[in-house]
Amino acid sequence: MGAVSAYIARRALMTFVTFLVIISVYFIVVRVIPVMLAGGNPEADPVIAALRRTQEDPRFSNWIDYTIKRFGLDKPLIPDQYLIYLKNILTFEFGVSIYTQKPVVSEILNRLPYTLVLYSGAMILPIIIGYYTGLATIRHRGGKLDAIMTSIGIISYIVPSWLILLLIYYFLAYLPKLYWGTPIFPLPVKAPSITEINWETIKYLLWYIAPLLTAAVLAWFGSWTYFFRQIAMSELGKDYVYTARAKGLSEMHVIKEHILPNLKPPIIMRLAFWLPGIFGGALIFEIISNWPGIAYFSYAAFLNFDYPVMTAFFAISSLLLLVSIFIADVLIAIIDPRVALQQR
Amino acid sequence: MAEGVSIAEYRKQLLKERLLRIKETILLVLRHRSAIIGLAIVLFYSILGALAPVLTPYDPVMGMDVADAFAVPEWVAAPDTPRNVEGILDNYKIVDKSVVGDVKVLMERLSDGSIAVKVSGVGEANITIVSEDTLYYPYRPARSMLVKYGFKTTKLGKEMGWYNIAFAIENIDLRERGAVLVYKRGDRELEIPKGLYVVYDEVGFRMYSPFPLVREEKNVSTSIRLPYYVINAKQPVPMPDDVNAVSEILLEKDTRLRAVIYITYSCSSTSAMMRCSDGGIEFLIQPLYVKIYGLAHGILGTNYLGVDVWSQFVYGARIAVVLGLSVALATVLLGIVVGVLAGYRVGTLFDYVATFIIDVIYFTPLLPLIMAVGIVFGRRLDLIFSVFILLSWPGTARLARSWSMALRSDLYIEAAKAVGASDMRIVIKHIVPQLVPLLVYSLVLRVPGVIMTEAAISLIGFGDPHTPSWGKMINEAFYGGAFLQNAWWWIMPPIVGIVTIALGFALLGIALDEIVNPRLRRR
Repeated sequence: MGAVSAYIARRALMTFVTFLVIISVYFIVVRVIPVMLAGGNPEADPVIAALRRTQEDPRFSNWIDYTIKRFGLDKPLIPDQYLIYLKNILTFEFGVSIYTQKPVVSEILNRLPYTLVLYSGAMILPIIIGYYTGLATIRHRGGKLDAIMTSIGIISYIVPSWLILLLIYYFLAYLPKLYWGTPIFPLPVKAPSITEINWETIKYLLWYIAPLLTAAVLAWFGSWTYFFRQIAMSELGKDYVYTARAKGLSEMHVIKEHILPNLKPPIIMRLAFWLPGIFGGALIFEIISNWPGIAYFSYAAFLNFDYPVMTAFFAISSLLLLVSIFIADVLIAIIDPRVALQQR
Repeated sequence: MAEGVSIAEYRKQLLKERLLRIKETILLVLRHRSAIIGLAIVLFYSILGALAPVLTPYDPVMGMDVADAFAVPEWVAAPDTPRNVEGILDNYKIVDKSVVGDVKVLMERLSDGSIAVKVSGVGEANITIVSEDTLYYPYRPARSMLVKYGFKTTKLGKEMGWYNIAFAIENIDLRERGAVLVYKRGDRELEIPKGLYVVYDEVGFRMYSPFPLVREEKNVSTSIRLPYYVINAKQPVPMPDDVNAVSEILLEKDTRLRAVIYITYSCSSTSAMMRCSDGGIEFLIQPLYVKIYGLAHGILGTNYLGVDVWSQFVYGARIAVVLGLSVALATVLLGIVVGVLAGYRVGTLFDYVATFIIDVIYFTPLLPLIMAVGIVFGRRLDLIFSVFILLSWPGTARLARSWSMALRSDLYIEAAKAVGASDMRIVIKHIVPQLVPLLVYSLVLRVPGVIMTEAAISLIGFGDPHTPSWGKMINEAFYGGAFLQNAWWWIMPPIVGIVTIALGFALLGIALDEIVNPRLRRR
C-alpha cells in the first residue's frame, strides 16, 4: 500500500498546485491585466470600477469603503492583494456579494444542492443507460441494434447537449403549450425552489429537471454505449475469455463476471476525462433553464460584475473539476495498483 | 543520389513524388462515401458563405425592419399575406378651406417636392389638405407601418399667428363606406369609425397645453412606427390602447390610403389669451412617406427585429467556416508545435513545464473564464477565441507528444543526429512531415467543437454582438420569443446549420481517420 499512498499524496500535491496556478491566472486576467493596460492606474481595476458604478445607488454607497477595506483594495495589487486573494480563497472566505449583500458562501451553499442534483444526475444516468445498451450491443454485435447505436454515437459526438435541450423545450414544451394548451415538459420559466420538503415541491422539481436529464441522457449515452462496446470488444479476444467460454459459462456470465471487472480502470479514467465536458454542459443547462443552481446565480453575478461571486464561482468550479478527477485517480490507484507503480 | 543528377533536379523529382502522393491520398479520401458527403456539405457552406454579399442585399446585424417582426418566409405565405407596401404620398391639394375674417391662404409646390402654405391676415382659418396620390393596399391588414413626416413653420411679417397642424393617414374607401369597428371588452362597448388615424397633432398630442393653439417656430422631421398606443387615446374619437390602429382601423384588403393634413390658423386682436394683431405663418410641409410592413419576406422570413433571417443564415455560414477552420488550425498548430518539442525533448525542463501547463489548462474551466474575460475586456470575437485557443490546444499537444516520443528513437532520426543535424532541423524536416496526416485529421475533427463552443458562448449571451453567427441567431431566437411564437423559420436554420456543418466535418474526419491511422500505424 506504500506505493499507492505515495502516489495519492503526489497527486494531492499536484492537484493543490494546479489549483493555485488556475486561481492565480484568473486573478491576473481579471485584476492585473486591466490595470496594466491602463498604465498602472489602480482606478482601472474592474473591481473598483464596478464598486464606483454602484455608488449612485444609496443602498450601496455606505458599503464601498467597507468593501475596499475588506478586500484591501487600497493596497497594491501584487503582492498584497494577491496574497489576500489567495488566503481568502483557500479559507473559503469569499466575502459579501455586492448585489445581494449576503455572504457569498451562504448564497452558494443554498444553491449547491440544486447544482449537485443536476450535475450528478447528468453524470450518472447516461453511464447507466450506456452500460446496458452497451451490453446489449455486445450480445447482438453485428446486428441492427449495433449499427443503430454506432450512428447514435456519431450523432452524440456532433450534437451538443444544450442543443438537444433547446429542441426538447421547443418540441415538448413550447409547441404542445401553443397548440394543445398544456406542455409535456415545463417551460423554463418558473424554477423550482424547495423551501419545505413535501411531495408537491419534489414532484415539481422532478418534472422541471426531467427535460434537463433527458437531454443529458440523449446527448451522452450514445458515446458511453460506444465506449462500453469498444473496450469490451477489445477484451473479448483475450485468452481468459476463451477459457471462461470453454468452461461452458453462458455469454452473459462471461461478460458480467469476467470481462467487466477488468474494465473498471478505463471506465473511471474516461469518466474523469469526461467531467469537464459535462461541467460545461451543466452550466449551460442551468443558464438556459433558469435552474436555481450556482451557475445560474453566478451568471447574473458575471453580468453585474459582482466580483466576490464571480471569484467564488470560478474557484469552486475549478475545484469541483480538480476534486472529481483526483477522486477518479485515487479510485483507479486503489482498484489497479499497477497504475500507481507505473508512474514510478 | 544517382550520379549525374543535380541537386535541383533531385529536389524537383522529390516534389513531383510528393505531389503524386498527395493526389493519391485525395483520391483515397474520395473513395469513401462519407468523405464525399462530408466534403459536399463543407463545400456547400463555404460557397454559401463566400457568396453571402451576392446572395442577400440585407445587413445581417443592423438591417432591421426589412419587414415586420416574425414575417413568415415568402414560400409559405398565402397570396393575401401582407407584403411590404411603401410609397410617398404627394401631389397635395386643398380640399376644404373655411375662412373667417380676412385671411389669405396660398399654397404652392416647391421644386424639392414639399409644399409651402402661406397663411396670413387677421381672422381664423381651417384648412384641410389631402394628397392626390394614393397608396393601394391589396393584402389582408398588416400589423404595423411606418410614417415619415416633416414640417417647418416660420413667421411671415411682423408677428406669428396662432396655429395647429396635424397629420393623419386616411383610408378613402373605409371612410366612404362609413365602416365602424365595434369594440367590446368586458362591459365596455365602443363604436370607433374606421379609416382615420392621426399620426401627429402639434397641440393635441401635448401632455399639457394652456392654449388651444401654439405660436412658436418649429422644425420637425421625424418618423413614427404605428400603431403607437400612447396616441390612441388622443385621436378625434379616443380609442382604447389595446386596439391595433393599423390592422383594425386603417387597413383593409383592396383599399386606398392617402395623407391628410389639417391646419388651423387664428389671429384675432380681440382674443384675450391669444392676442395677435397682424400675423402670418409659412408652413413648409414635406410629403408623407408611408411604409406598411409585410408579414411575408424573402427566403426565410424575419426575426423579432425584422432582420432578414436568410442573410443571417448565409453570413452565419461564412463565420462558421472561416472561424471554425482558422481557430481549429491555430489550436492544432499550437498543440503540435508544443507537443512535438516536448516529446522530442522528453525528460527535459521544457517537457516538464509543457506537461504541467497542459495539466493546468486541462483543469481550467473554459466557460467561466470566457465569461470573466468577456465582462472585463468586452465581448469581442478575437478575445473569445484567443482564450478558446489558449485553453484547447492541450488535447492535440498530448497526442503529438506521444507520437514524437515514439518517432524520436527511429533509426533515420539517429542517422540525422549522427550527421550533425540540429534539433530544430530534425523536428522540422523529419518529425513534423510525419505528423501532417495527424494535423489534418485533428484539424478536421476539431472544427465541430469550435463551432459548437462559439454557439454555446453566444447562447448564454457572451458572444460578440456584432458577429452574425449561428450561435447569436439561436440566442436571439431563444430569448426573443421565437419558441413562444413558433417561428420555425427563425429557429431551425441556425440549428440545422450548425448540426449539418458539424456533421460534414465529422464525416470527413472519420474518413480521414480510417485512411490516416493505418498509415501512421504501419510506420
